[in-house]
Amino acid sequence: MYERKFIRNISIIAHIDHGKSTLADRILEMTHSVDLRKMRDQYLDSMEIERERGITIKAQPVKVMYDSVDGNRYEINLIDTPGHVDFTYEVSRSLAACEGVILLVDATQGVEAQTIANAYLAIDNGLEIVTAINKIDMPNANIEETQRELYDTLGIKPEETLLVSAKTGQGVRELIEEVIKRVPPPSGSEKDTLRALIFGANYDPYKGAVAHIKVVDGKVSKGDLVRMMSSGQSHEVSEVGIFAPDLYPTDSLSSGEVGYIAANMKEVSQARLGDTITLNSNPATKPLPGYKEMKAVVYAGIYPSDPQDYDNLRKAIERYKLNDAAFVFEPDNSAALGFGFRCGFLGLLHMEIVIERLEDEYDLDIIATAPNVIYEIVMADGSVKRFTDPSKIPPEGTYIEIREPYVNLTLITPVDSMGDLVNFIQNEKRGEFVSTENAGKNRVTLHFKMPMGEMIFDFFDKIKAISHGYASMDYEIDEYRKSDLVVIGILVNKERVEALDTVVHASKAYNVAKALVESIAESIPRHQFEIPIQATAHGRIIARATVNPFRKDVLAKCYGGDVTRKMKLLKKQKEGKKRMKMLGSVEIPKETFLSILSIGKENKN
Amino acid sequence: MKTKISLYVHVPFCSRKCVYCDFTSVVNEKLIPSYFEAMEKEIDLRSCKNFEVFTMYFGGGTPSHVDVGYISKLMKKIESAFEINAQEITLEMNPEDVTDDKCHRLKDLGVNRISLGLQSSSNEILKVIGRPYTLEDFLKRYYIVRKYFNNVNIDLMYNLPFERLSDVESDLRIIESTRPDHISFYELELHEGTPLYSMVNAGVARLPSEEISERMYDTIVDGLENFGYKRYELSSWTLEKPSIHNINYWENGEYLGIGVSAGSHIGTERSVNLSDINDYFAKIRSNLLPYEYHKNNSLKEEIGETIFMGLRLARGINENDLRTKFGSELTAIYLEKLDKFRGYFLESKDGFLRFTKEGMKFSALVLSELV
Repeated sequence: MYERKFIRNISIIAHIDHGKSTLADRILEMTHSVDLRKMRDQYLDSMEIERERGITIKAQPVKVMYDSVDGNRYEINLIDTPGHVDFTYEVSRSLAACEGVILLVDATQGVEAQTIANAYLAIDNGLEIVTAINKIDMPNANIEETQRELYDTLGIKPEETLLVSAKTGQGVRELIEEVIKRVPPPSGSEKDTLRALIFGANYDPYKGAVAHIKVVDGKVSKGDLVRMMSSGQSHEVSEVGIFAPDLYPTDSLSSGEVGYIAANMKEVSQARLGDTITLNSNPATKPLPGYKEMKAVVYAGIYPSDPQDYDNLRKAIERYKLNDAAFVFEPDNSAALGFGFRCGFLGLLHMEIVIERLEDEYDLDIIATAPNVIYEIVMADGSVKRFTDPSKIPPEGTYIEIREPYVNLTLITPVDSMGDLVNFIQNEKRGEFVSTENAGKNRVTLHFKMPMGEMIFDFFDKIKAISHGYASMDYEIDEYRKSDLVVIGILVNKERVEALDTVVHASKAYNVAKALVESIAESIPRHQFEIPIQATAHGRIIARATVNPFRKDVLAKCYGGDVTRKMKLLKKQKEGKKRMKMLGSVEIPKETFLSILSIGKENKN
Repeated sequence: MKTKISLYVHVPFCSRKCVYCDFTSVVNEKLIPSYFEAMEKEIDLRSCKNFEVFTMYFGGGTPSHVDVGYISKLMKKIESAFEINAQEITLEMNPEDVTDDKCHRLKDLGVNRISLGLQSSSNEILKVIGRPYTLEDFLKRYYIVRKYFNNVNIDLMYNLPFERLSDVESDLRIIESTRPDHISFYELELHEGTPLYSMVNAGVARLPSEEISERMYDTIVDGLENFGYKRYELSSWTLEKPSIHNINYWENGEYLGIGVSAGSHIGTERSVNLSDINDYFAKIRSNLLPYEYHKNNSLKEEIGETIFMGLRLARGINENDLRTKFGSELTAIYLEKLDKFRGYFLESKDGFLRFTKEGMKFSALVLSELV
């Protein structure tokens, strides 16, 4: 193995768009780690959706060799971290594999809520923090203000910050030198019993699940029989290697080293994030700290647009599951949508990503129902049941109480919009204000407790709108609380559509019902007859909207050159209709099932 | 015996682009000479010897925007390439281009029908949609045209931005007082990519509500009938001179289109020319036909198009003619697709299948069955 004192395991913590990937690219370039011809713009962001959105979702580690000015050659393992609140646990496990982090802050944007949350994760993990202020080449860079924010929020002194431009490379070498100086080499002993931390995993069609690991103690070699400490399952190691940055097999990995193992595991849920790997023959007595089971907190129904695609959807979901341990699913069926699946996600972004990937990678057309949180119901016999589907919640009066999850919400925002944000969260989102702190000049950190269900619609966009785009946020699940909740049911043309059931607080039932029926009515195209859309609660109708019948559908002018074009146009419109769901004699587009999400969005008309 | 065809010539030049227009039009006047040369070359590239032209139509763009000299030269080329036996030669004019001299020269060339684009009688709306004349200008020019031509069409649109029902009523009063031989009255179609599309989406321009739009439609249909106009096609009305050229389109007859984006239907061959003028030039320069789309229609496609276009005519399609042309089996398959509309939207009379008055209102819905 490489001599431990020349190893540095680090992560880069940064907010979306603060330049993490660009900095990683510069480091790869500087260490000649990636053949330039092969180099994509941002190597570490290897998933398509991430590249499209410019955000990193899943960590893909990479090992580089760096020749320091001190004359030594260092092995640096760069462990990338996801940049969204849905993935906090993944970040915490990546950090647990490191001895230090680069805290990267954009000098044009300043410190964001999530950066602070992640910086605290690093502090909790006892990591050395090297702070760098990025984009100093930009004309609107405000270095002093960013330093001040860092001091106010994290106590980092201005003289401790390095100034870099990941884009031009300015200051990047100095940054790496600082990392080598300040971040300690990994501790642990090769002689101890094997304990390796799983900080990530991906699925490879030939190798099965590939666990991304950091060997904390001992050594793991090809052929070893290893044991997963959370499940007790044993596997024979078929391959050990490093990320260079593609998988590169070696004989073994020793204490301090970062790499991967493959062990004929059929799906990534067998290589659980945060789990400890030990030797079957000589198991460790205690696992590494911090393991948590990843739990889905948001659920939605997923159905094929065309019922004939059910089998394809099932195969796609099963395949997808191989690569995403946090995603859960079970078969479900709905009167309106036929056979499909009830699926659980880490959050709304996670849900969006999964649906996009199922549609893009498996060429499926999917109908998703509006997401909801998990409700707990204390049944008449005192037992507590969890409900992931609002339409399955038993009728009012048949249970003792219903509970909903709360989150601890943290917002960082300019002082100007603080009043409006507090108002919004307290008065419209049932949030409870907890405390506030300074976060630099004219910025504050706000802490709330808020029902998680309130985050699902009309929240993120509103926060951005109220703060003119400046607020950033982070949240963690807190506790379940008893709540006065009602299920709003929807009737389309007098027929109940359970897939549109929504749970809301009783105080908001009328307003949400009204907005919901209007939103649904807007999404359904006109038919030749009038379609009433009704909302029910407490067993009666509380809101109504109408899809008016269309009055004419005249084919406009059409001459010689136009025939082909006209017919194509009509065909396109007709195909659009085909993708709709038939509910009785009503055609419902798939967007209708997500109508709740468009409530409160500005009406363009 | 020669094949009788209609000949269409597309003149894409305009002084300015109207906000709703998604037709091929070019504002760069410098291209006019080379475009007319290119069209002459396109005629050379087509084997025209066996065609007898029985109608001609100069459309656009704005054919009246170019000097009559170009039309005249092209006409000579056409006369040398085809046998001409034209009953109807139409040219589209915009009001602002009309002069005595121009009308005189066009008449000398054999043009015997003028299509005049009014679009709306409201000066405010004309301004919004980017038409450079007022109603008063139009009326002056209309009477000039009238001095030279006894077959004049007026183009009108409804459902225009900011249009009120009273604007459509005013359109009708203009028709009542000017008594053109022919009227084309279209619903404005909002096409993606047009400035109007963005304006409507951004809320800068507002189109009439569906309810108002329906009342406009009814007002037009009933109003024109009251004035003695006969609706012989979904959007065409005439006193006694239906457009022979356009009827040939609707009967899915044979026609040749010259110039950018022009469509042709010869035998079962269906083609559309390139719509970009530079692409068109490039192809012509390399002695190639400037096709954007070119295909030999199957019998199914032919019958589909024939019914699709034929139903636009008020008299409908002759079911026996279909059977003779396409066989009774195929005809049955296609007519069956429309069966569910019979009685309310479609009716059979004297061997013709045609729209009812209500059916015309839902023509897009019915015709979608054929695509």
